[in-house]
Amino acid sequence: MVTTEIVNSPYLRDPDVQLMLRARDGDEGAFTELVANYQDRIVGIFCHLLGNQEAAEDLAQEVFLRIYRSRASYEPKAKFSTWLFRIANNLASNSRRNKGRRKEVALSPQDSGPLGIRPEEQLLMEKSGMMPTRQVGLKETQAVVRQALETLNERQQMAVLLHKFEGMSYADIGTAMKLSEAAVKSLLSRARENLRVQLEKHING
Amino acid sequence: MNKELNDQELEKLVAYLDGEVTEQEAIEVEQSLSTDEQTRAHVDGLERTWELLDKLPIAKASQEFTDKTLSTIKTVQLEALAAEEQKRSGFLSRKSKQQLRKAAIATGWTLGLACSVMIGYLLTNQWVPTESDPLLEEFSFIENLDTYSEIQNLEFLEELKKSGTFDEIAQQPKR
Repeated sequence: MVTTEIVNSPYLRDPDVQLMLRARDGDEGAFTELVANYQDRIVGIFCHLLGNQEAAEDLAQEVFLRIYRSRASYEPKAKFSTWLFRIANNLASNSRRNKGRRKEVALSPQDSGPLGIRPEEQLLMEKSGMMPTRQVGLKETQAVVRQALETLNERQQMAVLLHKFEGMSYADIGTAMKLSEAAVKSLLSRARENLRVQLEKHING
Repeated sequence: MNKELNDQELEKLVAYLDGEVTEQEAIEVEQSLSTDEQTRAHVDGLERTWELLDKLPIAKASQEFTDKTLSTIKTVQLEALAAEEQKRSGFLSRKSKQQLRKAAIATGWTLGLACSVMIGYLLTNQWVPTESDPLLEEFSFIENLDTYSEIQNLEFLEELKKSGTFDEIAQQPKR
């Protein structure tokens, strides 16, 4: 049944909300399109948070599964991406809580896992004649930045990732993380200050 | 050495960098940046460290992620349908069993009642004499009452018996 609230929802102009409404009405193709639209973004965020591609994909799959399961009762009360990242945030919190905040994989700067340089990237750099010293430099920088990011608490990390990589506004981050805009403002300012302190010596190099 | 920024100043500076301040707040921050070199250096540090995050590799979903996810969803959906079907058929068989039990009980009660009525009828019919019972018992006497009325005394009957009249009558073929 279409309620007045849905008809008047300001989020109906969001094309992903439209896709989700079609998925709610049984359009499997619309749901497939949503998965295709968001899979890289979700996996990317989870990879930063968990430091493990496989775990990130498992959790991303769980996000889409939850969305699919709740499609029947879906109402556009926020932008689709905000709703999706809210689910992602809940799952990430639960996952980390369940694992006792144990890191999935301890990545060293020499690792070439999902958060390090991939073999194909390394090959590309070699073919393009990139100097080994520069390769080492990039890998080291990545390791340092990753370590700095890991010093942030869970909420700071999520807020930073949503703001930096998803370009989400404070208001949307607040909706996704169930926080007030003021709390997000405070969270991000402390996170950025922590990052500045951690990385200060690397920015002048 | 940089002067320490308090939390509010820091929040305002970061919000300014993120484009999350009002017009008035933006003016205040810009004034502060134009006059205070240390604040300018601080903001510069915040900006440059923020840009360092761009160095992080962006992981993407594997090629099989979409298919894997959709097939997992399909499996879950089929499992849910099967569970629902099982639940429904289980409910139906339970319902059928209940109906069968009710029907058996009802039939039992009906048969029991019918037997009771029948036994009651038979018993009543056996023990309580009806008005016609004495008449039936004396039927042969009533039938020959006129003949018996014509006989004057017992001696005459005894004489008839002795003469063998009754035997002759008994030996006559019945019509």
